[in-house]
Amino acid sequence: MNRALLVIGTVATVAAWPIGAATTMRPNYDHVDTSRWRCRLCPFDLASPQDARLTVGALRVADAQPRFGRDNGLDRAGPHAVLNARLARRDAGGRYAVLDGADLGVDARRARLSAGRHGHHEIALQWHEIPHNVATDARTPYRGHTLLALATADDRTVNFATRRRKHEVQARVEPTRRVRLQASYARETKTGSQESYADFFYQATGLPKPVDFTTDAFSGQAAFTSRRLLLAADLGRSRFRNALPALEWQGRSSSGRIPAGRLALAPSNTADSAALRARGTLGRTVFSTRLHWGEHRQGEALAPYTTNTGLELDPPARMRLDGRVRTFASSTRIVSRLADSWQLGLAHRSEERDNRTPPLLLTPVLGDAFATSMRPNRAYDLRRRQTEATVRFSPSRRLGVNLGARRHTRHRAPQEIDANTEHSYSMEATAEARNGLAVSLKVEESSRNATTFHATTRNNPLSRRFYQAAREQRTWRFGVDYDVASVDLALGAYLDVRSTAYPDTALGLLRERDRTWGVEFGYSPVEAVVLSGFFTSHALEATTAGSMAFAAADWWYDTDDLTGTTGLLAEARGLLHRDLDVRVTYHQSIGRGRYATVVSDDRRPFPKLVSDHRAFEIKATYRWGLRTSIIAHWYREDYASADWGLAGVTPSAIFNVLAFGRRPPVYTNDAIGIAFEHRR
Amino acid sequence: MLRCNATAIAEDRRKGRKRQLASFFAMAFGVAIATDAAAAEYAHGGLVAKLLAGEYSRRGADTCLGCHDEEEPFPTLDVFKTVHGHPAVPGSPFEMSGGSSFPAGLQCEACHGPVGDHARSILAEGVDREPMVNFGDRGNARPALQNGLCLGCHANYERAHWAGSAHEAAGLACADCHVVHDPVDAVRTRDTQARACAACHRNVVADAFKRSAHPMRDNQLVCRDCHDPHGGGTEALVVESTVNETCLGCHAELRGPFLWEHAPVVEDCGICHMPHGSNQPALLVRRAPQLCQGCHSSAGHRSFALAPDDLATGRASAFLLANACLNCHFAVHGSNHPSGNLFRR
Repeated sequence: MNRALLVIGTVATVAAWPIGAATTMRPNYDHVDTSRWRCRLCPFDLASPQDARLTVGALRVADAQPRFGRDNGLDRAGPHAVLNARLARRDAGGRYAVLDGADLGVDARRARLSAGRHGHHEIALQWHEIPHNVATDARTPYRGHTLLALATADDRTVNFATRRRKHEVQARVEPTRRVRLQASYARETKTGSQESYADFFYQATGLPKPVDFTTDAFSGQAAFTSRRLLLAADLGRSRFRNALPALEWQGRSSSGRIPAGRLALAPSNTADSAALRARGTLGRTVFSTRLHWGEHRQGEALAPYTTNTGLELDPPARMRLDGRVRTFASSTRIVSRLADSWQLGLAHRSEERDNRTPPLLLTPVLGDAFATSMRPNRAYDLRRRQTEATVRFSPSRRLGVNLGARRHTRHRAPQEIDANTEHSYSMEATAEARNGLAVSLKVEESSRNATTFHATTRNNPLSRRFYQAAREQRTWRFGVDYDVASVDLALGAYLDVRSTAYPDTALGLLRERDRTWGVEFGYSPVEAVVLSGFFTSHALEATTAGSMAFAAADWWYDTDDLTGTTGLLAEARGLLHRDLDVRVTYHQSIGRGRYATVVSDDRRPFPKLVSDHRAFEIKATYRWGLRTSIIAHWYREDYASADWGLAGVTPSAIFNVLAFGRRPPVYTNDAIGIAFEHRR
Repeated sequence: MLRCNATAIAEDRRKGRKRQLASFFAMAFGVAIATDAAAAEYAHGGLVAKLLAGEYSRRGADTCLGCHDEEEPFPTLDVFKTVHGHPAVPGSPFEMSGGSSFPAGLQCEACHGPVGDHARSILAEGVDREPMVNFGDRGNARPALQNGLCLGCHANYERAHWAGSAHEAAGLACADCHVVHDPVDAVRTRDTQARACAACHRNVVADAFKRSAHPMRDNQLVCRDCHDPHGGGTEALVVESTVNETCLGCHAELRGPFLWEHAPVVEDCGICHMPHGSNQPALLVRRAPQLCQGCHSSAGHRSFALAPDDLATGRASAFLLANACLNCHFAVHGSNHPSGNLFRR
């Protein structure tokens, strides 16, 4: 079959050999004479539009569910405001101002105001809030913020939720058509509370971790563009500040000697970057490059080894890490259109992480009880190189063949396997018939070797960490689309399979298969009606081996995560004397995790992990006069989940663990809203 | 044995028939493709010849708009609602100040090419009107030609690495994603961008509905926040120089450098996380402990076979329930505590 396709493909491509069209040429402007171009029929009045739109209304959420309003701010039961606004104006001189506000009545609000003159300058202000509501059912015996005290009374409930607020100002100036200068400043704050754990005398303890982050980011850019040359330089600085560098908590086993445990929270840090971009064109060849230098620094004050006053240890040589990591990334590409149908590409990409943190000898204390031997801090270096050659043969708009070869090397220090080299070869073919049938096929084979294994850790020497191990990988992608223009029907199907095996691995991840397939359709029986839908199935299977005896494999994990997602849309416009639009959508995502442990040929399956999400939405817009619309909206969501990691795990259910007692969410919730939209 | 041979022969014949059938369909499809490709190429060649001949109209857009008005199936005049149709925008096709070099100011012909004989009022019977350059996936020119016309003006900073990028290599034309004659370009509009990208990246839409996902369903995060569709010369077209730098743009608290680093974290976030969505919490490719034990196998609890029979009771449950390994080793992204060498502080 493959041979037949190869022969047919060759015959087809020869038959469709190009007539000889130069595709990179510049149109011939020698004969242009615009002296009599008046553009009398051009409706230039349309080019200076005014658009004002205000939507005001109310939305009622039936039930308080953090997951329901996870990222859209509808996490509380009761009324919420609906407020959207758009105001846009452009004048005959090309000056414009646009104000765009969405979801202004809820915690997910965003707004952007931009003003300027096309081709000359622009200033933009942005505001964006992103809530992330995780749980309201967590329970903890702790009271306090960064100093958590055990309460004698009952557990309290705690909300795990964060909110990001991002403000940004951007300015752009174009002094000439070829030069552009741009600068921006953004401040992002993230506040709230997150789940965290730490151990105290080998007792794992769930701790509500306060979050109070601020990130300031500055960037500046200058770019010069001409027809054959582009040069650009970027400078950036990002400064992250955590107002709460440590969290202390009173452990259940606290004593006078060890009053509280101490957890180091995210350290404040700074990142600087500089980048250069260039592109040049010479005949049929385009050369482009991007060079990026970066430096990350971190000098947060270190906490003492332990709160245990009974342990007397010399402090570290310095009480700051003085962490410094230099990064470099480059990407260079040469693309040449050798002939009209042939394109050759050569690309090289590199990435380096050079951890220049001065070594620091430390004596970690385990569980605030036992001092271990002295050891240096752990810092990693990384170097990646990727070189790629591609050939594209595209004799026509409807036919294309891509061949590619890639060599990818990784060097790491210090690691058990300090280098990998991976060779990949790929072939992709796309073909489209005039009757609307299109087919695409991609095959890629990769083989990654690994340098000699050095047993630098206490891992079983038969194990290989999967991201370092030798591997064989094969990827298949197949897609078919059929577009029947005569009846406005489009059908599509695709299959995407990636199989990975780790031949040198006796313990660890042995194999993995990632398989996605899907079908979709779009149909418009009449001009004002659209029906569409899709189904996607994604399965991620893996087998992992381990050894309890610290010898050869004597147990295996089989994991299979399967998700089926369905989406349906029906939309009708212009009902009821052309005044009513109705849109109905339905989404369903059913996730199943099938995990099993195999010991001595005895397969022990876990209970299924379930995440069953169904959402139905209907939105009707009735135009009431020329300028006003009434929008009615109903959204319903059903969610059911089961997770053996959470079910029944009350705060004291696990030996030696003080958990949060969260439950897998199960709910049904509705949001009903009505709004008025006024346009001018 | 005979029975086996007979079965094998029958099986071979059946496979042979299947192969013949498959070859026949493949050949028929190939011939159809070849015919179509040749026809398309003929049209394309004609367009190139027109562009090289450069026979522009004498009256500019007035020549075109005499026929192409609002009565057309394609709303031609909507272009005047966009910056392309604005006479005061420097470099636009309808720029009237004349301050920019061609193709600026060439009106309709700036993009659709010189009119040539297209506007001839009298056509011989059975002769089709000479084509102009049409854009999009049903356009009559190859993507490279279509894109060349767009890049005549737009080969700026954002498109610095377009040549050879994944989308260019896939044969995409600018107009496959962008609409020019409409004031609202779906792929540049935050609320509709994901839908536009999903026309090809179909599985990503499904990922957004999974148990854990970045906030893509509500358009709090859109494709363009992480990816540069015009190709930045980076892996997976991410906006920053590397995948990790892109993730750290929002998750700066994980940037470090930490006192105790975790090797896969500094190498690639994608080793443990699926950025678009996962069936497991925190976008993990697998959950703990199964994911952790893919690498960690030292003696003791890190090599335990954790089976469901330990779920209800027993010491091993601490390694399975709640956050499993992360009940103690929570600081897997790195620890800055002098006693955090095992990511417990």
